[in-house]
Order: sequence, then structure tokens, then C-alpha cells
Amino acid sequence: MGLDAAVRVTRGTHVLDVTFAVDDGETVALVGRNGAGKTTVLEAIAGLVPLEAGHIELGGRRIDALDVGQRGIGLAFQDGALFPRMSVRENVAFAARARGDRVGPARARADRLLAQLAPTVAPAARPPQLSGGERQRVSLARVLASEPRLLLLDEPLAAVDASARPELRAVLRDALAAFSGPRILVTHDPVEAMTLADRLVLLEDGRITQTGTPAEVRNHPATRYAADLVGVNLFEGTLEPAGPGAGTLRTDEGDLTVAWPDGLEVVSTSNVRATVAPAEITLHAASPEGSSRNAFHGKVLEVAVTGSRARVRVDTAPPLVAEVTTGSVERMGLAPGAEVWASCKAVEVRLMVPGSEPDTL
Amino acid sequence: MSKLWIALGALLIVASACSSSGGDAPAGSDSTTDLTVFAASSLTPAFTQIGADFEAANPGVHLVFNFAASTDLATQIVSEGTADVFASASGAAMDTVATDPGVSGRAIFATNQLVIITPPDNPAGVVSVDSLTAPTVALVVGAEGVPVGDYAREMLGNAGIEHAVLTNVVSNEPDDASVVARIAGGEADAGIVYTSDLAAAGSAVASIAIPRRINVTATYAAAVVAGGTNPDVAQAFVTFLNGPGQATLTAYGFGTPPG
Amino acid sequence: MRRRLPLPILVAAIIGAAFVVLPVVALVARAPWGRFGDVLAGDGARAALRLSLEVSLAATVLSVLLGVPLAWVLARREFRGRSVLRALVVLPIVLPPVVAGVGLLAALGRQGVVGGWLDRAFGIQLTFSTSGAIIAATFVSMPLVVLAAEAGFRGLDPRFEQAAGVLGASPAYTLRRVVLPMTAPQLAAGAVLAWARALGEFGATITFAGNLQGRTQTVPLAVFQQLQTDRGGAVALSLVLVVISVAVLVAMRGHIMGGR
Repeated sequence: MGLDAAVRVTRGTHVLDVTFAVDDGETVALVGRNGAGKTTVLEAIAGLVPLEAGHIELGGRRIDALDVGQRGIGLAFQDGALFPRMSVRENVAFAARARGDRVGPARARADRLLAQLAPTVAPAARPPQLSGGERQRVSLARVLASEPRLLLLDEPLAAVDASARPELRAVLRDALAAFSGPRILVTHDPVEAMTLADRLVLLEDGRITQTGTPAEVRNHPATRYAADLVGVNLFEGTLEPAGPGAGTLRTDEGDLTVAWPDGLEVVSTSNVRATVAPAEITLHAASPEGSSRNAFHGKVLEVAVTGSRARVRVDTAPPLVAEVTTGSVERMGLAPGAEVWASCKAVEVRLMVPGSEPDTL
Repeated sequence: MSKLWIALGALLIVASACSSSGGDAPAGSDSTTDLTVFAASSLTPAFTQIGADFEAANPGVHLVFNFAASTDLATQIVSEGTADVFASASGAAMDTVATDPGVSGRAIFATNQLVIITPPDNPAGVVSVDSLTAPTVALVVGAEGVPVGDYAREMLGNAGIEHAVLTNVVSNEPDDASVVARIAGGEADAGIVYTSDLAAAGSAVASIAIPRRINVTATYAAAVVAGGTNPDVAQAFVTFLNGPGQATLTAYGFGTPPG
Repeated sequence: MRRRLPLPILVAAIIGAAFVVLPVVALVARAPWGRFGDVLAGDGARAALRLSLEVSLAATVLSVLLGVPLAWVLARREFRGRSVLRALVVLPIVLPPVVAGVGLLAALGRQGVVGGWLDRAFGIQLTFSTSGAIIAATFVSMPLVVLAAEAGFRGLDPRFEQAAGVLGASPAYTLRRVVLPMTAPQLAAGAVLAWARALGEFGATITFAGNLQGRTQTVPLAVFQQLQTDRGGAVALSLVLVVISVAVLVAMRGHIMGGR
């Protein structure tokens, strides 16, 4: 049955208008830039923000007219929002005590959840004494202790240092998997989205621009944002054949030479999208020789190193993101402002023609 | 530059401290003479009128009044000085000032008696002094130590009912005007004040006379306070009280001085 | 190396400190140390001290019981006339106490709007009673509780209340277990200020409750009366009140201004 939500909320000049559904046992990542409206969606579902129009159904039952505490929803806040004046155990037992459960059983249950999700945290500790990661674990325990039918997580890893994230991500994945109802995870971090979600819902300026599995979005990003999210170079423009199996994709930002299998009939088409994986872009200090067919000159804008790989953004026409080894970065002296050549083979440009089978030509 | 401001500020403080003590500096910059009169609060309406008359008769003289309970005024004069004339409802208060800083030209200028007042509708049905002994009467009097309060207790003692009546007191007021205010506002059932207060209160209160044999006569004395700035003008005022001021005092409900 | 304080600031600060400290020092200097014990042992002083403590504590409790819920409503509920209500609630702070007393008489005195009805219907009179003194003290000190509590509530991140609500807590439960514990320091500071104000209350008390030893004559009223007959005694009694107030303020140091 799951969740079925149609939400319309206006905040100042921002209008949020989305419709989506989440099945029981499904984890959906609601992804978007800051300000896109993701947190507002959660607040509307939880009842903290009133709906202008729309409906929210959970398990087949309308809940949008219900009071905040009656909806059966679990909402985990970005930094936990743990009550600082009570112990961790009392925080986790809060929902049970609030509905009148006896102290003993409520605390015992809290201790069990804590042992499972946050074994390093002493139940008698106070929230200000915990690290970011520990707070998130306790927050999750507190939410689960309220036995919700829907889980909403707002940027669960945002307040956690990078070094603690992998472990917390694992904890989250297990906890989510163990939860039988629908789950929505709000994030702006692509790694969080890709690794935790069964399905992505992309939100831009209050509207859903794409939904699909991580693989689907990676292979066929519908917007520039989606492409940035999955880390792919995306282009959109008009395809003009130049000869058998070859042609040019003319975009607003630059032209690409493209190729397709011989024998395929292609006419001049507009609204054609194409992607190139960053790993397929090579960088050179000097103008490259060879049959690459696509070579662009520009300045390095940004170098982002993760482990032994580095993503380099260049302001070529069209702009490109290349993935190289850190060794190459050092060897070529790649730093913002450095002049560089970026190239890729025409055949490495994957074309997506509108309306056709969503696979490459 | 900043040091200049400090110097000016310090000078200002020193100057203001010096000017308040003693009376050697002339009060007015032009020909006006200021006369400070400390008077019992029961004299308020009468003295305001007399003050206007005195100023009219003596152009260039400006009277400044301080009305309060006589004992309170005496304390002020003893510790602060700054009075030219003291008009007291209590002989004891005048004696205090006579001791320190000293007085001259002491003269009795009026007398006063006590009267019971009630709100116009007399909710407790007070008809005589003995009515005040009824346990349900809410009585307001002057505090002990304040002339009108001491006189009231003396009068009740004369009637032999002091103890019974004082248990009905709900508030001890700082002066007679406050007692009148309580009764006029309908907050209490009865109060004991001066007959002169009736003139000022008018229809705001009803009154019940106190038999002469138990009533107390308050003797009002005025004197020139030693150390004042204008002893001659001060003496003229004191003399005025026993002269043209008498008619006004009688009109406001005061009795004439004995003899 | 600490920078030297500019001279004008230093001088102004010294004058300011002297201005405040001098009256207290003078009280100590002028106190009748020889008969201090006699003054305090007297019925009048003992009754006044007992009444002052009783009235100020009762007024503080009442101010908190009424003021905190009022502050909560002002902080969390939007309604028409809210700013007017807030201004009226704070009014007793700027009102001259005697004026407050006159207002109380008009409302609760024997001829008052509500007081008249209380007298006729139930025979209840609030003037000239200890309850009257408590009412006068509460009237002037409750605004301090409301101001402190409202600031505390407003300063609270709404997400805590949101989290509690989503976890299923009723507003009352949230108030009790989340909001009040988190705003306890501000509420305590407000209560202490209210107590201090109630202790020193004079104008409204003498106007509304009157002046009677043992029933309404708190220390400020006793001192006022003593001034007329025994200035030394007045100084002694004043000094006792000053010592009590200073002791409490020192004990609360750091908690009143600048939070915890």
C-alpha cells in the first residue's frame, strides 16, 4: 500500500508541487539542491506545514487532515533534534512515555534499540556529550521506537564528519532494510542517494524532474542537475548528420562530433541528449594528435580529489568534467587556472534520441 | 580634549554639591524672594489660600510650600534644614525643631478638633464614637507618631474605648489627607480626622461630631526656623497668620487660638 | 598586553559605581549599631520582616503560575491584539507603583469594578488584607516573569517541539518534558527578578492594601513609617532588607544577566 502523496505548498515565491508514491519496503531518496523544497515535502507529509492542495495517503488511509502526532510518521531531523535536558535513554523512550506507557517497559525497549543501533553510547549520557554520528544513531532509535508506519529522514549524514559517514551509512542501510513500511530519505549528497536508495526522485525548483532507479538516472539523466548528480557529462542540442555514421551535435555551449553505427538512418533531430562518462575524457597538456575527433581547449576550474581519483572541471566549450588519476593531476600540474586540452572519441559520446528506446545509439 | 570634558564634569558635580548647603548664596537672580514654608498637611487648602493672599500683599515674595505630617516635617528640618517657616499641628514636633536648629517668633495661630468621617452612604451605620467599637467597622486613622494619629488615640483614650476601637483599624495612614482619601474612595467605613478636613472634603464624606468632653484640641504653632534665608519675611508671614490669615483659617474650619 | 582603559570611561565607571554603592555604604555608616538588636527584636520589625518574606514569596509563586502560561500563549500563539496584550502585560513595569495601586483600587477595591461585586456577592474584601498586599506585589512583579519566560520560549528552536509533536506528544506533555526543562534558566532568572521586585514593593501596596502592622505593613512600609519617628530604626530595618537582597543577588550571580 505504502505512501501516496500529492503536495502543493507555497512559501513566499517558491511553489512546491509534487506527486509521488513510495511502496512498502521501498527507500526513495528525494534529491535536490538546497532550496529545492525537499525538506518542505517532508514537513508537509509530517503535518508540520499545511497543504495548500493535494492529499497524503498512508496504507490506504488519508492522513493529511490528522494532527501531527496522529499520523504514524517517524521523522528524523538533520542534526537529530535530541532533547538536551534528558538522557539518551529517555529520548528514545519519549514516544512510548508520551502515549502513556509505563516507565519500566518503555526504558527497557529503549535500551534494546540503543544496544542495537548505538552500542557505543551509554544510555544515561546526555545528547550534548555525543558526537554527530552518535546523535544520528540515537535519533534513528528514537524514531523507530515510536513504531511509525512511514520513515522520513532529513539529510541523515549531513551533520556527521566525513570519516564517520561510511559506518553510519551502513547502519542506516541495515535499519532501513529492516523497516517494513515506506521510507523517504532527503539528501543533496549523491553518494548518500546512490548507495541508500532503491529509487531516486529529483526535485528542482519545487517540481519533480526525474524519477528512477540510481542506474536509470545514471544512464539517462534528464536534466543538467541529474547529470551533475550522477557525475556524468550531459549535453543537449540538435543532431546534424554530416555523413554516414557521423555528425555533429550542436548545443548552446559548444559542438561535439558524434558517431553512430553505419547503416543507421539518422536525420536532423532536435532535443537530442548525449552523455560522456568523465572517465572517457582524457586531459592533455598540449593539443592531442590522433583520431579522437573531439578536442577542446580551456582552463581548469576545479579539481576534486577522492582517494586516488580526481574529478577535474574545465571551462571548455562545452564545459566538461574529466576523471583522472591523482598522478596525472600532479604530473600535468592541474590546478585552477591551468591551461589544458580535453578530448574524447566521437564513439564515446552516447546519444539518446527522444522517443526511442532509452539506450545508446 | 577628553580631559577637558572630565574637568568640566567634575566641576559641575562639585558646584552642585556646594550650592545645596547653607543659604549664603542669594536665592533669586532678580528681586523675587523665595520663602519656604513647611506646614502640616491639614493646613493644605487654608495655607494655599493664605499664601496667595500674602504674595498679593507682598509683591516680590514667592511662597513655596511643603505639606506633610508635622512629625515628618520636623525630622526633615532637623536633618536637612532648608525651611524658613514651620507651621506644626503638634507641640512636640515644634519642640523638636526648637531644639535643633532653633526657632524664633513662635506663635499659636489656630486650633483644630477631631471629627469622625464616613463615606456618604455610611455603610457601617456609624452614629457616634461608640459605634466605632462594633467589630465589623473598618476604621482608618493616622499612624502612631503622626499628629492626627496620636490625637485620635488620645481622644479614644479619653472615651475609654481606645483598645476596643483600635482592633478595628485596617490601615494606619501617613497623614490626615490620606485618611480622607480612603473614606472618600469608599474603601473603609470610618476615619478620624480634623474638622478642618471637612471643609476641603465637602460632600465626598459624611461626618459625625465627637462630644467636646472627650475631643482633643490640636494647637497649631508657627515659627521662623533658624538658619533660614529671609528671617524678616518669614516673621512677616508668621505675623500674617495671626492677622489677615485668621479669617481664612476660620473659613476652612479651624478654631481661633486661645486667648 | 592589555590595552589601558581610556580615562573618561574609567572616570564615568567610577562615578557610576560610587553612585550605586554610596547609599549602601552610608546605611552601614549611619546604622544605630548600639541598639540594632533592640530594633530588630521589636514587634514592628519582626512582623514587617515576616510579612515581607511571606508576601514576596507568595507573589513570586503567583507570578510564575500565571505568568508562564501567559508568556507561552504570547510566544506561540498568533491572535489579533497580541501586541496590545503584550504591551499591557508589560505596563506595570513602567507604571509608577502608586498609579498601579490606584488602578488596583479601581478594579478590586470595595467600590471597584470587580471588587464591588466580590464584596456584595461573597463579602470578600481584598483591600486592607495580606491577600491585598500579595495582589499588589504580584501585579508589579508578574511582568518580569512574563518578559523572561517569553524570551526563553521565543529563543527555543521550534524543531524540538516539532520533534516531540511528531513522536506523538500532546502540547501539554511537550511543555512539561521538553520546553520547561530547556527554558528553566530563563524562568528561574525571571522568578528571582520578580521576587526582588515584590520584596521592594511600596507604592501599590500602601495604596491598595494599606498599612497595618502584622497584616499589610511590609518592610518598605515599616521603614516609611519609622522615618517619621525613629530615623535610626528606619536605617536599621533598611539595612536588613539590603543585606537579604544582596545575599540573594550574589547567590544568583551570573544567572540573571547573560544566561547560565
